[in-house]
Amino acid sequence: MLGKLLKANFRKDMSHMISFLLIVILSSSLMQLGLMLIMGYNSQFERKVEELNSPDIRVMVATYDEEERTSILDYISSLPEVDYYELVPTVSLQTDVVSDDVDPDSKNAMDNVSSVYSYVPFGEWGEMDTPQFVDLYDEPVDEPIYLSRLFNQEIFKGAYKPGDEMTLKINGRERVFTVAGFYESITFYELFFVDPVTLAELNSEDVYPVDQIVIKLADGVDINEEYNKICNEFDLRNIASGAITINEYKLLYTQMINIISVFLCAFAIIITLVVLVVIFFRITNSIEQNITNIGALKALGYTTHQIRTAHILEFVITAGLGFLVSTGIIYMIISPLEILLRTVAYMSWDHPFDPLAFIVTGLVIVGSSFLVALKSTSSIRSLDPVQALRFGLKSHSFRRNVVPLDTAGGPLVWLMALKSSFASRKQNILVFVVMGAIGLSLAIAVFVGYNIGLKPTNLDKLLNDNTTDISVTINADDPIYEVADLPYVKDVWWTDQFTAAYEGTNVYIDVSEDWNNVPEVNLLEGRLPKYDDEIVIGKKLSEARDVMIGDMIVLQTAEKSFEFTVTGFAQGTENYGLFVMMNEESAFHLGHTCYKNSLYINVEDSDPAKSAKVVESLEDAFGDRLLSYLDYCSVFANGEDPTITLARVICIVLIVISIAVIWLTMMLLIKTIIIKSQKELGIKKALGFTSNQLRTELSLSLMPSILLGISAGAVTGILNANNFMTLLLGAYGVSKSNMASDPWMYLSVIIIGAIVSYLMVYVLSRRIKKISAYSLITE
Amino acid sequence: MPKKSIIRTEKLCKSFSSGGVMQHVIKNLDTEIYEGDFTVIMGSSGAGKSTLLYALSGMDKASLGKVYFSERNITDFNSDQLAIFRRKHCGFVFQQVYLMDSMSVLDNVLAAGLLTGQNRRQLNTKAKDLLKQVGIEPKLWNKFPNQLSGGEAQRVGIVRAIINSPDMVFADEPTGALNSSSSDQVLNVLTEVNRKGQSILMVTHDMKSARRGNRIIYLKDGTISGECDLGAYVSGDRERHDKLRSFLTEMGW
Repeated sequence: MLGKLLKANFRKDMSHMISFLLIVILSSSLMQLGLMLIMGYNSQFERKVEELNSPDIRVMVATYDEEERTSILDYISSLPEVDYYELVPTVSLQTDVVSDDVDPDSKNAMDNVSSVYSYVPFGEWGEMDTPQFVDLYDEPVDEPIYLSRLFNQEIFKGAYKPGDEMTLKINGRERVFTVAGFYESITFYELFFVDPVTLAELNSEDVYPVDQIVIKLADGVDINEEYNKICNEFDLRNIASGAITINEYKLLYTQMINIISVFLCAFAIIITLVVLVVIFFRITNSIEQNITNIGALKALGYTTHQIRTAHILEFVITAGLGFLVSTGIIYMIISPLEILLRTVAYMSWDHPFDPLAFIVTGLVIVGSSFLVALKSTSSIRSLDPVQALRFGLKSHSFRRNVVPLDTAGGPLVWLMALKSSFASRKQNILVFVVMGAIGLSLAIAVFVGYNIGLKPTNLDKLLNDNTTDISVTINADDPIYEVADLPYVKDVWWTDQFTAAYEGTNVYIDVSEDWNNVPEVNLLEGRLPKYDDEIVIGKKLSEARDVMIGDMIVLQTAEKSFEFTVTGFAQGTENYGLFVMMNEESAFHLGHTCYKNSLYINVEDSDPAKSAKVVESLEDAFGDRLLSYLDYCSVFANGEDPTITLARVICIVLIVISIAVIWLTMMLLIKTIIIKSQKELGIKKALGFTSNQLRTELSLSLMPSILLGISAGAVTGILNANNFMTLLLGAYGVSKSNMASDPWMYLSVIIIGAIVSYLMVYVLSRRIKKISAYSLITE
Repeated sequence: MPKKSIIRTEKLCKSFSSGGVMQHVIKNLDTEIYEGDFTVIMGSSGAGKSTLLYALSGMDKASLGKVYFSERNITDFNSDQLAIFRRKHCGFVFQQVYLMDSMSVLDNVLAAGLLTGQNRRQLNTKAKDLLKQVGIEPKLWNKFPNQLSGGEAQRVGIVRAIINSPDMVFADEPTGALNSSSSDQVLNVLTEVNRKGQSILMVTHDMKSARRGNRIIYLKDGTISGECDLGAYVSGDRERHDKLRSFLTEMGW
C-alpha cells in the first residue's frame, strides 16, 4: 500500500522532484567535496609526516668550518628536548637550469629558476623524512638525477619526465643529467638527488657553506618554543641561519586547500538551507493542493502514518539519491581535480574513499531532509477525512484587503502584483530565505572577486606589512638615489630584515630608513615610530604577548639588547604576524648594520605598462648589478599568481552556482505557483488579461520578497566579509581584514540579482501561456 | 426595423480529439445573434451548448468555419488578440462564478474594469452603483468571495461581466449551482440588465431560466434544430410559457 502511494507521489511530482534532486546534488557535492578536501589534505599531511618520519624542525645554517659545524651539532645534541637529529649530506651549488623554456639571463624572479640548489647522494639518507621515490625510469642511465615531483610541477611546470635529459649549469659549467625519477618529501622539495660519484665531483666545486639539520623532538615538547629557542641561540651566536617547523609546513601545504574547503562548506550550508526551505514549501503546498485526495485516502482506510511516510520518503529518497549521485560525481572528478589542486596544495593527495565525509554529508543532507519533511507533514495528523473532503485546508487567510483597487493608484498589473505578493506568507518566506542565501554568497563572490581577483593589491596589502609595485635587489652602494631618478618611479624605499629575540620568541625585524616615508604601511592601530627608541609590532605578536601601545619591550640580538616603546600595531603574515618594524637608527641599538640593496618601488598610477618601463630602465641602468626583480604590477595584471587565479575561480564558481540555485528554486516555485493559481489565472485570461500581463504580474509579485531577501543577504555578506576573511586568514597572521567593502558591492548584488531573478521568473513563467481561459470550463 | 447582428457564424465547426477519436461537437453551424436580445441556447446534455457559447465568445477557437463578432473575424485572432478583444467586447457569467478568491468583491469588479483603461473614479462610482442595483450592499464590498452566499457571488459575477458595458454577456448555466431563491434573484438581475439594453447569450438546460430569453435556439447534435421567438419577458405570462413548452416538446426535450 505504501509503495503504491509513494509511486503515485513520485509520478505526480516528477518535474518538481527533478529540480529538487539537482539542488540536492549541488549542495551535497559541495559539502562532501569541502569535507573531503579539508580532512583529506590535513590527514594526508599527518600520515605522510608519520610515514616519512618527518622532522619537527628543519634548520639551515651557514657553517664555514668543521669547528663551527661541530659546535652547532653539539649545541643541538645538548638540548634535552631533542630526541635525535641528522645532518643531511647536502652540497649546495649555484645552479642555472639550461632549457629552451628558461631564459638564464632573466632577472625576473617569476622566470628565473637559477639559484643555489642542494645536491644529495642518491641512496644515502638518514632516518628522517626519507624521500619516497616514484615514477622511476625503468632503464639504467648515465648521470641520473631525481627531482621532487612538486618541484618539477611548480618550478618547471611539469616539463620533465622520467628519461628526459636535464642540463644544469653548475658554477658556470654545463652538465647533462637524465631524469631517473621523482621523489616526494614533506620538508625537502628543492633537493636534487644525484649519483654519489657525481656528488663527490661536485663537492670539489665552489660550494656554498650551508648545512641542513633535521631535528626530531621528544614527545610532548612544544615545537614553536623549541624553534624560538634554537633560532634565538643562533642569533645570539651570530650564526646565519633559518629554520622551519613542521607546523609551518602544514600551513604551507594545507592553507589554500583549507580556504577552498571553507568556501565550499559555507556555500554548501547555504544551499542546504535552501534545500530544507524548498522541502517545507513543497510538502506543505502539496498537502494543500491534494487535500481532498488525502481526505479520500483517509476515507479509504490509509493511516495517517502511511500517508505521512509516503510524503517523507518521497523527499528522503530523492535527497538520498541526490547524495549518492553527488558522491559518484565527486569520485569521478576527484582525480583531475586533485591534479589541478596541486598548483595550490604543494602536495599530491591519494584521495581514497573518505567514509567520514560521506557519513557526515549523508547525515546532514538526508537527515535534515527527513526532519524537515517530518515537521512539514505534521498537519496531516490532525486532518479529519470529512473536513478534508468537504472543505480542504484553508490555503489563504485573506483577512485584509491589501491594496484596494478603488483607492490605490498605479497600473493595474502592478497593483495586482502587489496584491499577490501579500497572498502567501509561506511563498514569501521561501523566496526571502533563498534570495537571502543567494545574496550572501553573491556578496562574498563580489567581495572576493574585487579584492583578490580584480584588485589583488588589496589582498597584498592585507597580507604584508608594506606593499609595493616592484621589488628589486641591486648589487650597488646605495642604489636608492639612482632608482629614484628613473622615469615613472613615484616612491622608492629600502627594507632590510634580521631576527631578534623577544621574551624567547624569535621575531623578524623589518627595517627601513624611516617608515613614516614609506607609503602603504599596513598600520592597524597607533602610529609609526618617529624616534630611535620606538617600534611598531605585529598585531599577532601583541596578542600573543599581551603588549599594549605605550608598553616597553626588550629585544635582544647577539650583539646587544635594547628597550623600545611600542607606538602601534601593524598587520602582516610575515613570520605569522610575529614581526617588529623599526627605523634604521633604532636598528643600530641592536648592533645591526642595514643592507640597503633590497628596494621597493611604487610606479606612477601603479600602471603595469609603467612598471614594465621601470624594469627596463633598471636593467639599462644597472646591467649585471641588477640581481633580481619582481614586478607585482604585471604579475597581478596578468593573473600569474595562483592565489589570484584561485580567487577568480572561487568567484566564478560562486556566481554560477548561485545562478543555478536561483534557477532551480524558482523553477520549482513557479511551477507550484502556476499549478496553485491555475484557476485564478484562467479567470484572469477569461476577463481579458494577456499572458504577458500575467507573467509580468507574477514576476513583479515576487519582487518584494526577492528584493528584501537579496538585500538582507547582500548587506549582511558585505558587512561581514572582512570578519569572514579575518577568520579564514587568522592562522597566517591576519588580525583584522580591512579589504574594500563598499556600498557599491551590495548595491550591485541587489540590482543585478533582482534583475536576473526577475528575468528568470519571467522566462520560467512561460507555462502561463499554456493556460487557457477555456480550461476553466473543461477542468 | 431589422435587428442588428452582433455575432455571425459561417459553417462553424468544433471538434475534439478524445482517445484518438475525433468528436465533432459543432457541425457547420450558421447563425446570428442580435443586439439587445436575450438569446438562450438550449439542448440536451452533450448537444454542444457550452462549446458553441465559448466558440462564439472567442474563449475557445473554432476548428473550422468563421465567427464574426461585430463584423470582425475573431477566428483569425491569436490568444493575446482574443484576450484584448474579450476584455472590451465580452462579459462572462459562469456556472461556478469564478470570482478571484484573493480579491475583495469590489476589487473583483474593478479589476475587470481597470483592464479596459476606464477612468478610475468613474469606474469606481459605476461599480458601486451596479453592485447596489443587484442587491450587493456596501458592507459586502470589502468581503472576499468565500464570505458570500452563492447567489450573492453570482450577482457580483454579473456586475463584473457588465462593468465594461460589453457588446455581449455570455452566461453559461448561471443558475446551475444555485438554489431556487438565489436563481430567481440572479435571473431577475439578468433580465433587468437586458431590459436596459445589454445583449445576453445564455446557455441553460433549465426551462425556468430559459423563459427569461426572448429568443430560444435549440441545439441538437451540434446543429441548430429549431428556434423560437418568445418576445420580451413578462412575469407570469402564461401564454409565453406554454409557447416555450410546446417548442421544447417539439424539439424532443
